[in-house]
Amino acid sequence: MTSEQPTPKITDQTYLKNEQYRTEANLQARIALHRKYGTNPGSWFRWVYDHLFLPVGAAVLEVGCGPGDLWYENRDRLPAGATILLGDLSLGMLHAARSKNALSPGIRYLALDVQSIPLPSASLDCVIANHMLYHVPNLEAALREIRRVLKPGGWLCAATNGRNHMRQISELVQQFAGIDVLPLMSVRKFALENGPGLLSPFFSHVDTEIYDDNLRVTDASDLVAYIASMGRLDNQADQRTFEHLSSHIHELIEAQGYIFIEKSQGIIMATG
Amino acid sequence: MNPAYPEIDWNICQACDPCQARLVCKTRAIVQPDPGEPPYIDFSRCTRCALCVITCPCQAITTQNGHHPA
Repeated sequence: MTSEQPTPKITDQTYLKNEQYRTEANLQARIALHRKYGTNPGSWFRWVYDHLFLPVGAAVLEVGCGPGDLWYENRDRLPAGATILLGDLSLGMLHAARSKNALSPGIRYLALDVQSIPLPSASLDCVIANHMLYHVPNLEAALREIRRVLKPGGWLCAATNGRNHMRQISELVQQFAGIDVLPLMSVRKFALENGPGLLSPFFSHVDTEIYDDNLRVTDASDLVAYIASMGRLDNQADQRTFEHLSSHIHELIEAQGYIFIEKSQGIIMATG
Repeated sequence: MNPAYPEIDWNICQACDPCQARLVCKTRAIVQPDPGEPPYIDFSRCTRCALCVITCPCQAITTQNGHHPA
């Protein structure tokens, strides 16, 4: 059942920029599942922002800002006089972020690669990397750059997933369709478990905070859309496999009422 | 929660670089603009958790009643 087409790598910047994250559509399909079926009634983006403690006049950079949801969802409490820089490799994402945050003053947009940040050294109070460090080909170069642009005492908020994050989805696809989606889902390169150790050489103090959430998916079509958004099963060659998987998910939900999906998600706060 | 805000005694503070109390403060209430100079506490951000009091290796941080829980 497996296709000849190789699975795109999670760190393939050309694929990430020109296909997976060319527009916000794939990412929003995935965010939608979390918003609709998350067992935590709060908002992930509000929770992340709660941990930033941005001071008045803060200089902040979000690398891999995506469609700028963090800033949109916290637009009622952005710090006064702050300089907020949103950076992403994808121009489509920057365009979406700019449209979404058009009414928030003081936000600027940069096309950037975190491995070479076009900002002066010691110029920022806080850098945010929300679910993106595992996409970076040279993680060490990225962390060195983040440390460089942070002021002494500045902090990094790195959000990522744990190794068991949504494992039921990868197991379902792997077992039923025989297709390995792990290269796209896996965050082993920078996960909650190994992230602190990877940050330690660059920061004096590292703390992990876990976001308490799981998914109870009751509509099969939402889960099917999520899997399609990963960009591995939606091509013509895999159409039959995809249809089989889709009907299997429908049957499972019909029988059980829902599919439980375990989440493992959090932030690693690192201070220099 | 400790009812009193912590205070840094600059006569005791050794201005460690980095300041260990600043590193553990989750609300970023300990501000050290110049490494090598004593930090100060931003009371608008301090939650009085007293983690800084326990952490400071110089025992330079106390609560306002002079009590050092460590």
